[in-house]
Amino acid sequence: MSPERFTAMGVEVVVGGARASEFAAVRALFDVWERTFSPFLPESELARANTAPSRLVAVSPLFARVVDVALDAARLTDGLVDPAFGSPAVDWTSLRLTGRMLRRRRGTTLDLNGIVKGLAADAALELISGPGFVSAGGDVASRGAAVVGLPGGGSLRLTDGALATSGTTHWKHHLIDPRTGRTSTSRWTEATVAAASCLSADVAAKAAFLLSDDGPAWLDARGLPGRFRQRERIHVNGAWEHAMETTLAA
Amino acid sequence: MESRLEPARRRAGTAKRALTGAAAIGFAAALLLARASHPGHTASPASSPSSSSSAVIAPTGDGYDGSDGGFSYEAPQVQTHVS
Repeated sequence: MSPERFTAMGVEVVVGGARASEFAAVRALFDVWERTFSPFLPESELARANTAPSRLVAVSPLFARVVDVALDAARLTDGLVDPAFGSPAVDWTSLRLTGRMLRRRRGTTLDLNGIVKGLAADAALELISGPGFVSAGGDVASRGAAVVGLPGGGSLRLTDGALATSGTTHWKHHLIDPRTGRTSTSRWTEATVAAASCLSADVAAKAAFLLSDDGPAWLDARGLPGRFRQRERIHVNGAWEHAMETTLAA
Repeated sequence: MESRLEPARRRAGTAKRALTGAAAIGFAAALLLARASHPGHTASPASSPSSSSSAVIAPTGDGYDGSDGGFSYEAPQVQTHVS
């Protein structure tokens, strides 16, 4: 069964191993998530929350849960993955979520791009009953073996879990470093991280990329394999090396 | 002197490894707990990628396969990249 593809949330989604009904369910899930979290659709819940005049906004259960995850990601990365931006004084601590009520400091804009793709890939994989994979814009969640191409060449076999890549190469888009509010000056071109879920891999890849020289050790301290590309040079951290060696030795 | 320092170093090393392990579990578990509560999660341990605490990755057969003098190559089914 060859993978099927469609476009959603501004990226290509690739689905492997899904039956026709499961593929339809995956498409429907991405459709709902795009209508909820797109910063480009004026009628999306995200756009409406960002333009609401009140500082206190009632949000849907899905929206509330994703904001909750985003705040967890911000806490775990010391704000490197930050769902809030605006004036220099604004960061994730400007947000308060109580149930479905979201309170923002004046001038705070929500940006959930940092986690939505990974979460959607994880949720979509749950809709496939057997072995399969879902890639959302290069964030790959897999159950059963999938051969995944790596940035700069090469590939690996992802048997269970996820891979995500963060960096600056695609569309010359640059990551903003929340610590400075400016374009990241990371030494890396890209950082790829393997983790149990696409959400974890995506969040950790962004943090490790922004941490530049400290990225590999930051991942090692969390037991996460990381592969970094600096133009044509590839650097892997200890956890990545260990994971590959362990497999070869088995 | 060395005999007293060595056990202390070992204890420090053990403590450091324990802390590192705790950090790894903390990061994964916190995000997985958050993930487990989001819509679309079916709480099916057997089918969930969160059923293990880490990803399982392995080298592919790219390169010399040692059997018939040829090179094996597995074409990627999907690519990880920046979007």
